[in-house]
Amino acid sequence: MKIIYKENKGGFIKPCPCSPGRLGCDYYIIAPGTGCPFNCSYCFLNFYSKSKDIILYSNTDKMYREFVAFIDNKKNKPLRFGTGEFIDSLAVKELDSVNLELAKIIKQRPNIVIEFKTKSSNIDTFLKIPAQDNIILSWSLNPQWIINEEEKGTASLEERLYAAKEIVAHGYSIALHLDPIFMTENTLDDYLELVDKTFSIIPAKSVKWLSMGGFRYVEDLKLAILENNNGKKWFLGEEYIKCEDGKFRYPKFLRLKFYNRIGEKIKQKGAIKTYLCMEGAQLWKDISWGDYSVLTNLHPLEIGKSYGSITGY
Amino acid sequence: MNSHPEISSYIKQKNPSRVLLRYLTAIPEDIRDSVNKILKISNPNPATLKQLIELTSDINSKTGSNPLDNKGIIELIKNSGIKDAVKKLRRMRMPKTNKIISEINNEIKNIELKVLKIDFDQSFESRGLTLSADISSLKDAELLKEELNDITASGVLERIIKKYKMGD
Repeated sequence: MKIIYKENKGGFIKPCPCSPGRLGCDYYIIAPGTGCPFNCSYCFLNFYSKSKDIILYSNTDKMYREFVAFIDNKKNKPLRFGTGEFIDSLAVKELDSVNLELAKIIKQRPNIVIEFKTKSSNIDTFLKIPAQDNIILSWSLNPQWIINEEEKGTASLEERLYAAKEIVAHGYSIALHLDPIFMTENTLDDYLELVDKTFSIIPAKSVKWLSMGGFRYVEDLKLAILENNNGKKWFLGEEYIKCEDGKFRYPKFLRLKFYNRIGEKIKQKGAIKTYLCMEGAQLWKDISWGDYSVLTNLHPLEIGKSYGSITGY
Repeated sequence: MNSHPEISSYIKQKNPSRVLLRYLTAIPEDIRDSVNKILKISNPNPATLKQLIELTSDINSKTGSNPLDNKGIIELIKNSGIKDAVKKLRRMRMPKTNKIISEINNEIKNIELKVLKIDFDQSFESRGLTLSADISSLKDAELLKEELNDITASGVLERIIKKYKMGD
């Protein structure tokens, strides 16, 4: 796996690609590159990018200019951005300077939040600068046995949680993502224990938002997973339904069971803004611990529920 | 595919989609052997073959075994055709969902409704059930009112809704 520098001839900023008919969370992606040093079996990068190389965009000045123009055009509107959609935000050392420059850009723009999402424990860059309220470091979490089987090369669960704890001690806030959740007859207890373990290490009040999402896939991803794993993978044998957005998901009754049980456990830990990734309004109506209005209120500024629209609905 | 002459010949003949070709390459060798054997006794259209392979692959991912090795499947293909084999594989593929669908259908059947009709989306993605009725007289309307009352008061509607939403 190599790092390749390439000019990005397109745009760097785009809305997070939520499926039509699903409720989005008003999030924007900044894309400093694509690819990943990790090898998560379920990741969409397996089919999105044929090459295993990491591409970093060389024209970062253009990215910064585009970012500044975008946010200044929105005139103090609270906005959330993330760099961890097409690349792990912290796993690639060559991105450290980009991360620091983005942090610098938003230092005097408290309405702008950037989330740096990772499965690593690489927090040194952010420990070397004073914490900012509008920088959120976030971790995707899964039970350790799933990390062992399906998230090769990533930091262990404990490494992620203790990195999060250290970053919180330095003054930052964090976010957490339980995504993908693998919903089988045996895994619910694993996820409930994961929530217990997480909040035995991380203070709940430091978590600005927490998302959940069941494993979902499109046909191209399934084929890529089969091709990369000698034709079989345990989680592909579970029951899935093809939804109207073309993605295959666990049946709704199973998703509801997991979301409700895990969400109720999370709420026991504290008043954490919890939301579902790429689910529709119909499912939200049967959620026991909250409603989809949280999607317009995820920004830490907490200026009220009506600043944004629910995208994709 | 050179070691699977039936598959090679099928590909030349049918010029199937890239997706089917990818499945044929991705599946484990023993499943590919089985598909080769099946193509000796059947000439399915590519869509049906893709369904057969995909369902087989999914069952194999779950159980570790190759359902096409099951003599019942081969006999089914010989006697009734490959589409019946695909139906059987589909039932094997989604046992929990099919069980819930069957339980809901049985509940509805047991109510013996004359006017009221209860339908549900078998993908479970809709919010709930659909109740409908064809009314052509006041008597029908009265009967509808009675049936709605019965299924509500008896708890059977609540049971069906719960099973639809929660699976149990």
